[in-house]
Amino acid sequence: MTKSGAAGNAARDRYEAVIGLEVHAQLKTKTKIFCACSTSFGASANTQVCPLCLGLPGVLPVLNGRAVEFAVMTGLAVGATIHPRSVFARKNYFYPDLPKGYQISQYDRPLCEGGGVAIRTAEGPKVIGLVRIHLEEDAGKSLHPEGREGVSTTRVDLNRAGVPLIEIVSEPELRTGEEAYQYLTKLKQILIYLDVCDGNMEEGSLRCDANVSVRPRGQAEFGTKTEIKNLNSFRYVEKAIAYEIDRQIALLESGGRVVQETLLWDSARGVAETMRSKEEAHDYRYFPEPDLLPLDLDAAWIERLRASLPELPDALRARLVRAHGIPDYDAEVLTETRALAAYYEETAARSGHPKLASNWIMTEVNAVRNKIGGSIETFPIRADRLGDLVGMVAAGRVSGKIGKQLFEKMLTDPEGPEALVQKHGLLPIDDDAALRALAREVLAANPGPTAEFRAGKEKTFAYLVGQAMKQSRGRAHPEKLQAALRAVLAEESS
Amino acid sequence: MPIDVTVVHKIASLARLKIEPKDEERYARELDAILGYVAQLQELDVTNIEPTSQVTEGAPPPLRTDEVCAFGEREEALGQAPDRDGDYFTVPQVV
Repeated sequence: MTKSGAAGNAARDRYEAVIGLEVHAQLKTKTKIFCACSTSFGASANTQVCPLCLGLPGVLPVLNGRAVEFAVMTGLAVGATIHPRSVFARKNYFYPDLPKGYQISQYDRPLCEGGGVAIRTAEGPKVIGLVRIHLEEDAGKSLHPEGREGVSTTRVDLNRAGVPLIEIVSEPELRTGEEAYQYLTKLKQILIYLDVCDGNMEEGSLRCDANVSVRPRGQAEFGTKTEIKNLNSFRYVEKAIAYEIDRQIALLESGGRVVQETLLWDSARGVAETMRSKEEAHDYRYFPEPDLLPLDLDAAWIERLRASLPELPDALRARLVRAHGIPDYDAEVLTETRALAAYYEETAARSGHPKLASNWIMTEVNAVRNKIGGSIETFPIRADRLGDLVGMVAAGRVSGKIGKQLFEKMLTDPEGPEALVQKHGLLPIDDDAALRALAREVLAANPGPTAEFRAGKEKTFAYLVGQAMKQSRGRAHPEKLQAALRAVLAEESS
Repeated sequence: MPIDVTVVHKIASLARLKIEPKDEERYARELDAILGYVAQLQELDVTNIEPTSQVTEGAPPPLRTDEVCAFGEREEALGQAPDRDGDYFTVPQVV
């Protein structure tokens, strides 16, 4: 077994990796692609099945119009060509989770071809081309007896059999695991913006296989590729690709050759191991599906879908920069989801301070979201209240520090910030007399430091300011407080 | 492509069919004859002709609206299978 890091840096520099990804995305339809069974996740085994998806004789598939719509929307969003005619095909193989003995997919006449996904790399922006996007059905789920003592059968749950998928095949234009990560993140973001896939990798709504090969830099032909499966998080995709690139380089450097095979990623051990050798490539004996007519799409219908597409991440990011004058970095963070961007825009409008609103969301709001998890939709402080708070801070009604205290309170208290200021006595202290009284109190309570300051130790002043600020629970106006302290110190020593 | 015993073996293996050795030659001959007959079609010039994957052309394919209609007969479904384990279909261990 070649350990990760086996290839030296010098060897790594002599090679270039060529990576293509195949992504399967489950479409967010209520029903399966060819029958009216539910697609909801987590139902009890074999409750969402019917004669059609069980592969029983005497039934015919009827295509789900919504699945077609979602696939076309995806194609439009990535700038693919939508073919007015595409053809379903049978992909024949035997596996217990595929009851018909074939998967209905698309082969030589896919729904979409071309297009691309723009990513950002260390070397600048890059568009990863797409080969195709086609519609197909999912298989069921096999539960193998691993670890179950005395059990020698595989259990099969066919709830997932027939769930609509799109397969998105990239051109072999990715060069590093990091680029693959960026590509997947962007693709997922687009799918979620379109609301055609929930992007949940844990539930299998988004799955990825990676094809990896290496070649000496400058060589035009591709090297022999391997396929890595079982990549159930984007970080695993990144790690597995880096591992496999390194393994192939070390192998070639030691005079070996790469064998075309399928590897399974073992995330616990951080290694990819042979699943099956592909020396004899699969022969799926594709042929046109006799039970389904070619899928003919009306050009006007496609144009209506194009016109109804929501604003996509790149366009939205550019608009936020333009409309609110915030930095591109902020816009990138704020367009994580459409809901977050909407939340930001409402907060910005309400507060009248777009950049300050952005700061509060990127730091305070996101910190809490990272801690408690959850999306912006369920965040306890809605945009109207956050906008009011940001507005109060911007106007100097409260300090940033008090603002943060208010924010903490607002997480559990549904009141608005102004009401909370009154309720908790958090109004700023900027009245000179009050600040002087505070200063006297603090100096009396801290005779030691006060004496040190008088003896010429200027640094102690900061300590006294800190004590006074603490005493005021952060409400004291910082500059005025310092002035008051200096004044009191001066009058007392005179 | 002429169909010989090697091809028969491969097709049988892909289709999970068990073929008796004594029948192999015969299958090769018969398949070769069938494909030879179909191969005559290759002689036609089909340049610029849209491939026909379906003969029931005409009306656009019906599309289904995305509304759940549950079959709801789990027992009947599981009952059709040769073997089951509770709510699951079972097959001999595959890995």
